[in-house]
Amino acid sequence: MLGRSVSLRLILLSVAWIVATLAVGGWVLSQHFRAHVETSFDFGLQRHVEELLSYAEVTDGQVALTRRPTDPSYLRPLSGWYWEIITDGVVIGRSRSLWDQVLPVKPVPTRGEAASFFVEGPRQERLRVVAEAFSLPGFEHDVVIYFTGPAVVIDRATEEFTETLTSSLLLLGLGLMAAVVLQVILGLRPLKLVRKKLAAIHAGETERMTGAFPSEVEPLVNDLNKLLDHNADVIERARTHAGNLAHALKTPLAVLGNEADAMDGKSAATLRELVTTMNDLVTRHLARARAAGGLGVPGLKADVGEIASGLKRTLQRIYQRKCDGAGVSISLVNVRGLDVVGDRQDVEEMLGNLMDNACKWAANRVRVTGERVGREIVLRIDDDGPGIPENLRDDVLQRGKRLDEATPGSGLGLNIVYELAELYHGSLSLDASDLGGLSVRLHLPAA
Amino acid sequence: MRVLVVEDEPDLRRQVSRALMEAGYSVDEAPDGEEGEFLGDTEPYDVIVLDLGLPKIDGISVLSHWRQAGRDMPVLILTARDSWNEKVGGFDAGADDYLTKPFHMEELLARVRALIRRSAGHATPILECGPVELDTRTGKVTMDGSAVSLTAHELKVLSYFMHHQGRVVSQTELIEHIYDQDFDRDSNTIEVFIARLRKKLAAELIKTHRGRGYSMSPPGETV
Repeated sequence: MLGRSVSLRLILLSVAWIVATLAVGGWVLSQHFRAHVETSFDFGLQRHVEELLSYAEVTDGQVALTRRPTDPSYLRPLSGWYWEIITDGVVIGRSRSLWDQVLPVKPVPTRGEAASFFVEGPRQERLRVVAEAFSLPGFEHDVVIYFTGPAVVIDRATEEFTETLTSSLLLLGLGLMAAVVLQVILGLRPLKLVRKKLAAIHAGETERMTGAFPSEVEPLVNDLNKLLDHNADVIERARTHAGNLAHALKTPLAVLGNEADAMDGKSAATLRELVTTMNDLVTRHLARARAAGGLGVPGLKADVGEIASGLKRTLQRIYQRKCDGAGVSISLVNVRGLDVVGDRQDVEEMLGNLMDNACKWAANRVRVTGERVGREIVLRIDDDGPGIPENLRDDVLQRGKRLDEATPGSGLGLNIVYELAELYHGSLSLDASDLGGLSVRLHLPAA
Repeated sequence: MRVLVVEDEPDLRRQVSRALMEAGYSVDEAPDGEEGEFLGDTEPYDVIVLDLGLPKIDGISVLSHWRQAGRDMPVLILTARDSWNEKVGGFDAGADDYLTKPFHMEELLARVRALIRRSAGHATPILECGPVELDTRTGKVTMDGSAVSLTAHELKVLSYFMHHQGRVVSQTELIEHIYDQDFDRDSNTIEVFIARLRKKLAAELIKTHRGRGYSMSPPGETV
């Protein structure tokens, strides 16, 4: 799945990035904040250290406190806010809050450098300690002052910040992900457009891809267009070659047939028969080659109305002397504006053969009716001729079957239409007509 | 009756020409579109048999050219191109009939006969003029029901008159429609044919219009 969808790839990669970046960023930020809180906490303790130092005086070679810090936090017992002043390992003063306890761990800081660290207090609570060593004039030992505050203050501030930070980052992350999804959808829209245009080409609505595409997609579109053109070109050439071959064969066949006609005997009949067979083969395979070539060619559609009116013109001339010179009257009903998927010549071939058949058999009326049914175009060709009995209708669709050997024609007409229609995913069926003759129904996919 | 055969395949051209000549037509041949177009432009043909796939100029172009120039002789397209697309194209270009290869020679002859008859306004294959009957399918002539034997040239002259009854036909017109282009034309021979026809059929059948030509019309009708 990940390998198939570009959108999903982009989104998952971006989400991974966003999660990683925000997690690292959040962690760094909260660490930074904690350090900041500790520093300002230490700064407060430091000021108390300096205050206490100012109360220390050396009298008689002993250090004594002239005053004690008045901050009530240092008076409340076991509040976590403690102080202690020590010289040479001897405690010379401690905060009331310490009660009878002693600060447990007491690393001795180097002189002149304030040290801060955590220790475990008398109530097993964590304490933040600031310690500093001083030298007092007239006193040989260092005076070390410790001030502590409960670490829970730092922890709580950090926790609160982290909570706010986490929810903000979560929100930011969600926003970014939404933006990524939107960006992917919008950014990949041209590809979707390409797909849509290709679908339109496949459906026969257009022959090439047109419209404005972004510069990244345009080369692809141009290449696709070139491919489509090339494809159409190759097919056209193949069809032309097939057509040329078929037509080039027919003239010698005509010569051969005429020579056979001029001869007598059994071999002449055989020759004549072979000429007919060869001609049928050429006709059949030319039709198939043409149709097969046209299959799957995108962008093909044929206007039934135009084709039918051209055929009507032609057939009325061909059959103008039928019925004692009255001719065949051909009416076209609702065929205007109907488009089917397919090569124009193939559709013309199907409809031409059916209309020709109808004219051949009609007393004097032929009617072509068009109708769009769902995704199909249904063409009905009716005539007022003798029709075909129901039990024989399947036979006439078979190759070379003819019900009447006397009427000119090779018997390929209906069968070729049948095959062409199947190639185009259409169908052909025979029925009785309300005009009295045969009703042929040709179903073709609508464009 | 004069026919032009425009066909590039020599064997087929020869076959068609021979069959047409045997049926009593004067036949000219053209091996390509260029010569065919020129002949159709300059000679008065009664029918032209035209192939479509021709060298130099294709058949459809030749036909369109003739029709645009106002040449309205009947044209039968004889081609291997048998798709409906091409048939519609052929008729739209001005063809009068369309026959696809391979074909039966009798079919071609029947269609040529029909075209000539139709262009002269006759509905049936048997032409009548008073007591004289001409079956265009067989070339048989009868006078009051009994067969009359005519030479090929006599038949050509009579056939032209029968197709164009009730109209004065000049000697030039007769010559143009009876002889092919390579024939050494001599107006005296026409007079000889007409004299023979009058003798074999009836003296009053073909009238002479001094300085204008000849006419043939059913009894009771005058030109």
